[in-house]
Amino acid sequence: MIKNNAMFIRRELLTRLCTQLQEGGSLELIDRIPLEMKPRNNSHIRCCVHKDRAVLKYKLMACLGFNIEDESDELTPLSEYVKITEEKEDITDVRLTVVDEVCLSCSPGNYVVTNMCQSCDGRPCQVNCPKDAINFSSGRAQIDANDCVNCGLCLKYCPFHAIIYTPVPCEEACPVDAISKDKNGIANINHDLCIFCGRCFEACPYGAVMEKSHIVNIYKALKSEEEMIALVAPALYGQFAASPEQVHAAIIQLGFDKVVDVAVGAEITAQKEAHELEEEILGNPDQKMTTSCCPSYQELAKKHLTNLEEKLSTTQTPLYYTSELVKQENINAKLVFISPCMAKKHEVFATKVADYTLNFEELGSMLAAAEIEMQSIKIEETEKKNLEARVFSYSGGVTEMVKSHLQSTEGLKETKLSGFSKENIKQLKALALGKSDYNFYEIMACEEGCVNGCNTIAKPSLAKRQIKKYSSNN
Amino acid sequence: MSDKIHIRICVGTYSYIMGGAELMNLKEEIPEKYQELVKIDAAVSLPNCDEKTMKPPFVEINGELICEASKETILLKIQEIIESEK
Repeated sequence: MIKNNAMFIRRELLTRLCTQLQEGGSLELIDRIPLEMKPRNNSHIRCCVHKDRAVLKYKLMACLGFNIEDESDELTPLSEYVKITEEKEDITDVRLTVVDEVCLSCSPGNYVVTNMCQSCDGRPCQVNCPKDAINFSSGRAQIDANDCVNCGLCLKYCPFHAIIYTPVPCEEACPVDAISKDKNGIANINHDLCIFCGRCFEACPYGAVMEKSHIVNIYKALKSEEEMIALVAPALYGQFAASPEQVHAAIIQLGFDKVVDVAVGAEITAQKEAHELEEEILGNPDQKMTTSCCPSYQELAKKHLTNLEEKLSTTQTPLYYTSELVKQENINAKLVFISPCMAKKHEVFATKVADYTLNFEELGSMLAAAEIEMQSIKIEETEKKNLEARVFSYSGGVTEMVKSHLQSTEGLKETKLSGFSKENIKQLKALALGKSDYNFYEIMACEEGCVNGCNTIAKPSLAKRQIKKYSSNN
Repeated sequence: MSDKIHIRICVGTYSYIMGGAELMNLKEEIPEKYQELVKIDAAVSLPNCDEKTMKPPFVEINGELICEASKETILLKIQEIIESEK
């Protein structure tokens, strides 16, 4: 997770939105949020205060669950979008939407000559340019964007390091080239290639890549008579300076009827995965298996490294088993999965294991809007209960749990891989081709695991430390 | 120094999600030479802070409220206090 102001603006928008969506709020005041955040006498980031407000309005549209590109009338107020969302039940498979107004501020990736150019006689930049795209008409090197093919030779040969490359952060961050600027300078997401890792969302310094939220639907359901059950990803227990019991109590105060720890399902995943490992892999030297609990990795295997698909364990995710257990006892309840990342939101959509997803940032905003302070909630000593499988939330935890369920670790050569960096993708490509010394891979899309999901709040190292504390029974 | 520098970090939910979470390991970030001089604790709310008009995260150092607090601004303040008492 990269800390930046775009992230805090998003959280402020969400909190202000939640304040008006909750009991006692006013839909009409939602229309005033951009004005309140950007009053007329305040300094502006863009050309004028009106543009800043327009950008905030578009970001709020995403928070209300809309694709920004679907806007048909610019004058439609935000309060109207709330009503539309409340009436429609279907949730589309599009998770991300781009605020084109602000995406345009970021220039397409290109090479730029800085004022360090010394106008030397040698002019290696010009001499080595294969497209004749560099001229010195102004006395200093200039790159003609129409002719430049971004080969980078000018940067390589300039002895003064006067040429730099300005990247497009979202394109750079995407491990599968699913996002790129179109001819109009607006980032387009290819949904057939996207693996929902959330890296573009984290990387955009303008906050132009926005995640569509389910909060309107969740507030509507919370206000109704329906039974609401929150299924909590174990990574949540590292997010706030509070115990798991305080976290549960806070969620109940929001209006949920029950809270279930997904570590319950993680325990089943660990048992079944250990069984699969014993049956299919150990003692079978040619076979290799990878974990399957990270939906972003599953998407990577299905869409990009198809040879890996057969190596995915057939064991279901912790959320799947938890949902199955909860649904057996609560047939009519609405399930809301509280999630660290966008990939899990995709899992919920694709498998229907829950009705809605609420990410950690959205949950934090709901709690802030309701002025619920977890640290003030008193918990009886007898209510405290640690669950070992909470370790699923950090890199190495799944392996730890699976190993604990094996009768013998003889023949097991395990390794873990977290974060879809270029180096790790290279390793996965090698694994897809069978080139690997290991026979069991724990794979997570985010570096350090779910504690570092794109919607997390706490520092991953601190979250991991806290979760370890609440996983141990010693 | 006669008294310890007393730092109170607001762990109210809004302050926390708006950057307070980044300060949770502040103790570890303080240089060893200052460790003994500093006392850190958490507070659900701080006097004089107003989430509606002031920018979180909030921290109080020796009774002085600091808005938009970061590790850097806190360390700077600690240094200022130590320098002023020399």
